[in-house]
Amino acid sequence: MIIKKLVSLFIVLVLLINPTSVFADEMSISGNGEGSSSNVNIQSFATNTVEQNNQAEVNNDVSADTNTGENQASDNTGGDTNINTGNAEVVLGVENTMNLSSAEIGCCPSPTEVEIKNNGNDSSNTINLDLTNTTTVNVNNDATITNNIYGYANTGENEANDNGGNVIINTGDIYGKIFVDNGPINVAHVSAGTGGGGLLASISGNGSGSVNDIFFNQNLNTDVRVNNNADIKNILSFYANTGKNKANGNLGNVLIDTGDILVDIFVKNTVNLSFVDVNCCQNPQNPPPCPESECPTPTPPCTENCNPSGPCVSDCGGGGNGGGGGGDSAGAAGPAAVLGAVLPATGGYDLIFLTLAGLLFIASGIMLRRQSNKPLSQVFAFV
Amino acid sequence: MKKRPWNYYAGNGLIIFGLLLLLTIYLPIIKLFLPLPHAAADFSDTNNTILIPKINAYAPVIKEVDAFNEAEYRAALKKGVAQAKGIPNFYFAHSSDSPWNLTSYNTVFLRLGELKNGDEIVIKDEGVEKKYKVVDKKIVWPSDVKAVTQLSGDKLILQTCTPIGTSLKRLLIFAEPV
Repeated sequence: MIIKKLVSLFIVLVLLINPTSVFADEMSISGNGEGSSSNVNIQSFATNTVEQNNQAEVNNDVSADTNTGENQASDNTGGDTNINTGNAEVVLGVENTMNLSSAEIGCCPSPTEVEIKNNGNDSSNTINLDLTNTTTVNVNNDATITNNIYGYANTGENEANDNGGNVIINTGDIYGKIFVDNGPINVAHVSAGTGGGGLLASISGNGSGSVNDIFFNQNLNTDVRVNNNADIKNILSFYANTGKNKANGNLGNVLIDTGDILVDIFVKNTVNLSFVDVNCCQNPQNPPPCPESECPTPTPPCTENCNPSGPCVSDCGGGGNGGGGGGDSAGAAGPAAVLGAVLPATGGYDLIFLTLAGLLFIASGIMLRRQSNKPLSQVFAFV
Repeated sequence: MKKRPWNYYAGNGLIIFGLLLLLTIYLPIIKLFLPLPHAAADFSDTNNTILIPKINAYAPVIKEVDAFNEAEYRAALKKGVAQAKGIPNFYFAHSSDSPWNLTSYNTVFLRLGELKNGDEIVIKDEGVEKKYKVVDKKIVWPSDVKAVTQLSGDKLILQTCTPIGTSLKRLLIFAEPV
């Protein structure tokens, strides 16, 4: 009679894990005796949740006033009368940058390793793996911008009445430029490397008549929701006048020459840009769980939470950042860093350091030569 | 013959060593200022090249280099001028580097700041030659990627570090097709 030694091992692991950890482990049924029965049940629930809410409201009131006109030269009896007004230039600008969001869950977990090995004859060995990995990313960007821009430029409205001689009114040109650059506004970059890391299963070295089963069930749920809402009002007004000049009741000839008006208006809105990259971790080229030293390093104001045994979670919540300017200066703009990137570094300081080293060698050599009759301690006494 | 003390010869040795060090550092840079014929450049891939006659820059182009992956682009810059992956008309190269890395390509953009509006840039892409003229240049902080990420159409941007010998800021040269 075959002695049946029943070993029943029942393990239920229910892991409700914070956003920085996922399931990655090793399980083994090994070295059990003849006729044994081993049963391992494992359930794992991993949940990664990132929620970013950015709300910004900006009102820019920008105005500029330039006037070289409204001159009067009347009732002159002797000689000619000239009114020459200068040119008027008005430049108004507003730039708004806000709500730049970046969420990265970019590091894939290691595969789960499962093995049934070296168990005895007629043994029964079963591993049930049930892994559920849920990644939820919610990004809500809400921007409200009102740009009120008013410009006034006048070189006209001059009067030269009732003069005895000739009258010349020559008004200057007007050059106006308004630019409104709203953007980037509401930019969401979501990069989610989701997945349970896969399974490495091995059944080997078990005795004859053994029954060995590995059941693996993996559920990967990724839910990314990006809601961008932008309400932008650009209210632009520009008054430009070189005319409305008066020259009445003059005895001589009258010449009124009005200047040109050139107004450039540029409005650009770049809003609601969403980049969602969901990368399944089954690709063997994907990186393993990241060591702390290799975690991505986004630029401030990102805050990073890195767990060496799990994924890197980087939350970059961009707050409102807007501004305005008036007169000849453009409006203030936020830093143009986009998605934590910097331009490639194509220089280095080694050239300077080694140049200094070379010069130091030469200077030291010259000192040694010139004062070769002195002891070394005196030559470099200043050191 | 009068025998000199030992530190006289040690001084001579230090001077010679210092001069050799400076020569090693600056020889590749001096070569950039010499009017060498471009045809004399020695590299195998002549289907992808960049030529800037005014600053005597002629180098192979390494295509599809991740501009935001330092390890990748540093390896590419040892071979020539890098063309950014995903931004086809963005090229960058060293203005300076460690002396042990100073090949003839590593400082190919050393004189990029000398370019002025109207200067010619010739890029050969898969054997097809395209000519550009400089229309603007800017110096920006490294985090100011706006101009590069918003690059569109046929416009071209060349980038290197400035001031020379540092990686403090970035010099951007803007060009348009002729």
